[in-house]
Amino acid sequence: MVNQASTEQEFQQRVIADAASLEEVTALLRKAGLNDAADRLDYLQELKDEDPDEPEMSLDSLRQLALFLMEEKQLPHPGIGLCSDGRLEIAWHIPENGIIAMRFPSPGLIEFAAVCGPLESETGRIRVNGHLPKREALKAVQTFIDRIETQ
Amino acid sequence: MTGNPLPDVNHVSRYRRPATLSPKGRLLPDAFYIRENESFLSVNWVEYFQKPDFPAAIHRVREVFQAKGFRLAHRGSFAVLRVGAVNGVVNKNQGTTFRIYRMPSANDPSHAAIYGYGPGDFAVAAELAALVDPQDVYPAVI
Repeated sequence: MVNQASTEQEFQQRVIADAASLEEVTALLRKAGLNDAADRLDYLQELKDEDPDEPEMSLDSLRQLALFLMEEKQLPHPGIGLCSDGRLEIAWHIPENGIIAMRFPSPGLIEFAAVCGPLESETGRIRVNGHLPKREALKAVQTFIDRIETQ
Repeated sequence: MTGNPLPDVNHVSRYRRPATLSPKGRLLPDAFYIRENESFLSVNWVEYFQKPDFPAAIHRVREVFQAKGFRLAHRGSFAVLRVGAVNGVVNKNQGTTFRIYRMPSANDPSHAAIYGYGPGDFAVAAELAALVDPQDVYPAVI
């Protein structure tokens, strides 16, 4: 079973790595049932088409984001944003002005920041952040993932 | 830091590109990133305009941006944040006692600056994004 999962993961990695454009990546996302993510990426490209000041989307960042979403399909659909340097980032908002945010500085590595708890509390607000491989990063924010707003 | 610190109970607005606003009206961290060559985040002091409500004050902010020659994106937005909440986020993350200071200029007397974090501070930017509820976001162009 582990070997089969590993093989599937390697296959996804190869397919994503071979994708040469936004259209190819969004087609893969749609094939994987991730239509919300594909629609959002198309929207971000549309913004660029209508506003020359918007940054070009980094293909490397796009591949890393797509791979993350395809491998972690059990997670709710995140907010996806395009940074001014062309990289993509994702975030889930959680109650009490909380958030889980991630970006993908290099293949396999996630920069993450998460916070939740009463805003005015000196001790009750919990924060974690760092750079870790995906598995460890998800483990670090698991408590926050359990609280993601689904509305 | 050129001016006085803003009162905690006052508010600041931050202009955002449309690519940093989610379909649910929530902001993403990039809305609060400080650029590599900058040492603060530019905002506008909302109460400066002495308007009765946020929509009226944000309308004045729009006019200031336009007078400065700053092009507002069709689907861009202004987010409004409470000064005390911003100070709390920055200082609790950084272990500092920075404030938001007035930094007026000839063509923008409401200009202010958030100090206390830098270009690499992803956690601060993310938490500032979390402060903004959808009802605190106003269209940049009407």
